[in-house]
Amino acid sequence: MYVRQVEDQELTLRVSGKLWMRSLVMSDLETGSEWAHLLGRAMKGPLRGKELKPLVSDMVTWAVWKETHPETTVMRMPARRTDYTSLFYRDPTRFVFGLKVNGKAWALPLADLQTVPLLSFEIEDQPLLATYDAPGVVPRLFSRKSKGQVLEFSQTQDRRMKDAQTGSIWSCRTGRAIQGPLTGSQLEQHVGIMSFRKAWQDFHPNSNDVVFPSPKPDP
Amino acid sequence: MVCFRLLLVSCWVLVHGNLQGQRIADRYQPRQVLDTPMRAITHPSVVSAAAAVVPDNELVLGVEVNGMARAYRINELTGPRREIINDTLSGLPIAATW
Repeated sequence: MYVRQVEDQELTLRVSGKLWMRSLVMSDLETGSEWAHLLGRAMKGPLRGKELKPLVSDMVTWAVWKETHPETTVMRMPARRTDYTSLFYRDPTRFVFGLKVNGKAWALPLADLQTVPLLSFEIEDQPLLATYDAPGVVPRLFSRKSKGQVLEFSQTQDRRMKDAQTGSIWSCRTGRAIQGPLTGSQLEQHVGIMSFRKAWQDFHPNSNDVVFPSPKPDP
Repeated sequence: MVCFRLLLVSCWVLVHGNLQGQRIADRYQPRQVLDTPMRAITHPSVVSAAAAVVPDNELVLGVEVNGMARAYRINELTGPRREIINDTLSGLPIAATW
């Protein structure tokens, strides 16, 4: 999901008919520049080197989206397929949730997110939090900074988490504090891209996996 | 046989090393797979959540801009004719694609 605008010029994007590394190349009607889909970067044409701003978006089941966004609208077109349901991710080893910090790419393996549904980590001094909501297949990425302080989270129950600093209770899905001193605060959501591991690696050859803690042995 | 494998390994190291070292932009070599570009899709029609008939476990791509939310069913965003939707949400021009 991108903002289709570069320096105040609105762009109309279409499927160019070309592929690069087995991945879609977009072209814009206004300048004819060619854009790598996964990078959001113009590779050829007058806008070469420019980047589209990625927008935070959620790949999520319809049930979860309408529950968290009751006022949502939905695009209506005849559906072309029927197989994109939560079962799409049944082999989690094929997917990563990719992110970029200061231009460098990192990947959260979906299989790890499924076993550790709440992970606090730090990349280049940025305190981050990944949450994963299994029923809706929703990985989300948040900043752990709130009102100047860095928070440490632990999962409580029912898709909620608690911060150690104030004891406030937060929703893992929305990143919003719902009880305690920070009620109403919202963690800033970061762009994360659910991607096939292979494609992510092709386009970000220097990407590293975020290391998850090893699972605790059974007592 | 061993020589052949060695040769293969050295080729792999060379190619792989180059890929890592070279800037990705310098390697842009797209392949033409369709004769002509697809028609751009603009101004898609939308309905409210209540009017939509979508199975609960179907995947959607959801976005929120200034408190306005919109969902795109992945099953509608698939195939070369449909991979990019040019839309506007709360005044912001967006491209729904995944």
